[in-house]
Amino acid sequence: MLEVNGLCVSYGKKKVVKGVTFGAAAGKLIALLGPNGSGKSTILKALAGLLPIERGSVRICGKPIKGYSRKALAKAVALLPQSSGFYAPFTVLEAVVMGRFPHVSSPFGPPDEDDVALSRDLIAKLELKGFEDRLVTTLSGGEVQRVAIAQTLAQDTPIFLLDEPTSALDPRHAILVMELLRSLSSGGRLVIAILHDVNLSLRFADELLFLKEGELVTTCVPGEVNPELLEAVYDVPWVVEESPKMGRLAFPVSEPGRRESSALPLLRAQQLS
Amino acid sequence: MSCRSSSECRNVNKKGGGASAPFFALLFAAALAVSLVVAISVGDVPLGAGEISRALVLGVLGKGSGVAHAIVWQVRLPRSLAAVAVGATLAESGVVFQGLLLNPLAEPYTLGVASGAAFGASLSIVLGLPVVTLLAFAGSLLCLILVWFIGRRGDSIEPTRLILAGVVVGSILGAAVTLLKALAGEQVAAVVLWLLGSFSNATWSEVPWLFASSSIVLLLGLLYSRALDLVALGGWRAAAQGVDVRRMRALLLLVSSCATAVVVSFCGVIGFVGLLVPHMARLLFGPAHGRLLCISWLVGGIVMLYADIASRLLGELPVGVITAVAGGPLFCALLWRKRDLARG
Repeated sequence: MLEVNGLCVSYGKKKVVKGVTFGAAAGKLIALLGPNGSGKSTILKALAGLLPIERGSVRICGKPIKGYSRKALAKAVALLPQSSGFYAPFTVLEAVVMGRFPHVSSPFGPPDEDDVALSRDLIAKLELKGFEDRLVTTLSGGEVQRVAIAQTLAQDTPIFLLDEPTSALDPRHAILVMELLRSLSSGGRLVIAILHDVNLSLRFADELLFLKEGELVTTCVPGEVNPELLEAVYDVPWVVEESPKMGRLAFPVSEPGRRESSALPLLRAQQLS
Repeated sequence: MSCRSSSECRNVNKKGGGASAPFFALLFAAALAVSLVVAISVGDVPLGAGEISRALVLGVLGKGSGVAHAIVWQVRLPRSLAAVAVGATLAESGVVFQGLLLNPLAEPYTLGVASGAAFGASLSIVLGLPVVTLLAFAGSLLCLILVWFIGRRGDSIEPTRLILAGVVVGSILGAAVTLLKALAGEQVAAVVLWLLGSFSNATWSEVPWLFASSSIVLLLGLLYSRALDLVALGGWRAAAQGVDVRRMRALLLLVSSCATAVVVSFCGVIGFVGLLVPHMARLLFGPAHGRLLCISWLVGGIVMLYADIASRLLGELPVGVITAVAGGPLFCALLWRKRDLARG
């Protein structure tokens, strides 16, 4: 569904993405991981057609990205940008319905009933029911992020790209969002999400793409993640352990050289590790 | 979770639009029609509703004559229609500027068209050239081009950079206008009066230009209203949904600025309407641009009509003075009551 070949993107003279190659099939949830400034957000923007591709190619459903018009691309790829704040005081329902923009043909007038129904469904799925008339400018950070996710999902595209969709969410809502993304991928969509929470990635993703300094370090499945790989990517020691209940868990070690995570005694006490 | 207070929510109907916007649009349209009759009735020779209706009907049928007919058709109707079109253009351009530049202080004069027009008109008056409107329009366009090229960065248009360019060029031209006033001698009164705006010289020849300007901005704005909503919500988000933000921003800002240049060239610099009316409309009907543009068109027209009526009742006091005196305190009151205005 998505083929990225030798992708290079620069901001002025600064090369941010340096020859990244990967392919992604429909029905997968892929986590994009890496330290700050490794080019993750730039890759997603380039895949959504928002940044010019300096070199390399991106093919979506077999067709080069340059062959898509803006509107056609927005019907194929939905992007949740990293800065998810809202400036204008639209209501939650209005903001989510706006996600239907690529599918709406009339330039003005009330939205279609089906678009409103889809938006209300997403609002409910993201536990925002009852918020429909609330102004987005009065919501908390986590609520705003869920509205932004609902707006992105309302685009109803085969490919969803999400830049840190759980960064402002509490653990319960982070899991809620990841389960929703999981259900979308199970339903045949391709979901690529930038995540800083390695454990969420290990638990929900089918594949993990690790980036560092604009280059793809490796592509692997959760079972292949090990401390050496994580240390190579993040420049900090990690502990990776198998939990009968939680599966593979990974923790960065606060002090360099110390392999025992401070979280492990607590996990052992709760019989999680 | 339901709304905790009225400032945190806005009722929307099941289709997600403003529940009462069409009703209020009709109400404001009716108010505009009534205001137009009031504006025609006020003046040195007061006219009753009956006289006005008779003069209007007979005039349309081409049979009118007499004093009332002359007053209505030659003086007050073109003047009032000019006021409506100017108010509408400034208000809807304000909506476009505030929406595209994501700045609540943006207004139709942000890109310097008023400063350019002021300079062109002042120069024409001081030099005794009988082309005040033409030079004002030329000054507006030259200033707009200058601001545009200074404010651009490569192919992209950054709102902050554009606003700063407008402020800088406006300041330089403001100093030039001050210099011209100092050199104007006996013409200084004419310069000052032009700068403050007036409809006293409005004639039928200007009305089509003014309405064409307001109509173009309205139609283009409505065509892009959904995209404007997305831009108001956040630039990247709009681009991710297929909006060509750069192209839309350039097109709408340039067209709105040109329309503003037309109205300023004919009627002078009238402040506050382009800033205040969009905020009033936004507070009443929310930030959706389709509604905002229509309501602002009507409210801008009504506000300008009453400003012109006040101007006439106060012995042709410049309209710009009336809008500033009435608009300033009103804007402060709005800011005081609605603390989240800046987010709009």
